[in-house]
Amino acid sequence: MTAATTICLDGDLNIQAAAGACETLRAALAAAPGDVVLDLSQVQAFDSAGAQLLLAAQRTLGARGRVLRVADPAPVVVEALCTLGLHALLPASHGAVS
Amino acid sequence: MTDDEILATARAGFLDEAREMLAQFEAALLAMEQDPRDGEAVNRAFRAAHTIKGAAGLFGYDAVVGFTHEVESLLEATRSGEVALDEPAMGLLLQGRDQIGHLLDEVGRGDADAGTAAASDHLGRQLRALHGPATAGTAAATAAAPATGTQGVWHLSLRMLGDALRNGLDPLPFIRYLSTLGRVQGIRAITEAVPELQDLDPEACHLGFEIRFASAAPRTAIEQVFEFMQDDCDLAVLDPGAGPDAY
Repeated sequence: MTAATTICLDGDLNIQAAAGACETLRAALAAAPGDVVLDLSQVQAFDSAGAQLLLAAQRTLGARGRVLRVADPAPVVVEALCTLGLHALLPASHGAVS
Repeated sequence: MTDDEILATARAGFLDEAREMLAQFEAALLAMEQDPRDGEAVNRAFRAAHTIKGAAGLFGYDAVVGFTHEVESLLEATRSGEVALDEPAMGLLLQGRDQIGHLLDEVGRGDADAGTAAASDHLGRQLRALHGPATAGTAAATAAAPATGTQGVWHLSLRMLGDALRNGLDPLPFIRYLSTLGRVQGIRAITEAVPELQDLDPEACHLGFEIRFASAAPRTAIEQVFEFMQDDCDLAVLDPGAGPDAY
């Protein structure tokens, strides 16, 4: 078993930053050998484009039998994911917020 | 989460969104200055102002709602050709941009001072003087509309089209704004169309939403929430009494 790799995404995860963040994620996921934990505690801005990146990252790993987990999401991330009906992406401790 | 934390979270989310919309508003104004006949730029400015107003309404930031409404009304009058996009109108819109910025700063600080309120009032009067009483009447009618329907549970099926995000239309503030008309009892994102990262165009929108919405608002008011996104989404609204055929 390989330990999960933690990736910290800081700054903006929104439409303005989506292209750059997508490149960062592609490279980081390609370099990680197994499961991945995304630390979102330092995210400043988050919108639907950011949510899509998380979904795409989850799908990418899922297709290879690996798991993506979100850890320590910043308040903007929690609020957006709850509003969009994507509570399932949040850690279990946040799942009840809606 | 405590109530305070939830409030702080909501405020951070709102400010984020609103400042971003304000930047888009400013960019659209600059395009309008370059070319007053650029109708698409006027539309962009209008949508940005409308989104700010809607989100502010959701969180109860009435000072932002009231002032942004005046800016939006002038843009609406410009769009319909009632008011020419001349130098005085552009000047007021640019001042309006700054004033919205001050009001958002107030939200961020959690205070409100009389000077800012007076500036909103003064500039609001000037905006109203340009766009005239007709648009104000329409706005009053729109605001009064939600009370006329009967309470029921609606089903909203929303599918975003590919260019929505690129056009500055994020479904997030629109879904937030729904709460001004009722209560989102349940929402499920439809994510099957989101591809793997290597195939993802990160600026294209692949999302859809199924929303259970309790509201006494009439259909027109609910549809109006999404009006400014109508070119960028498919929306089906099933009313509370809809039978199987409606699907």
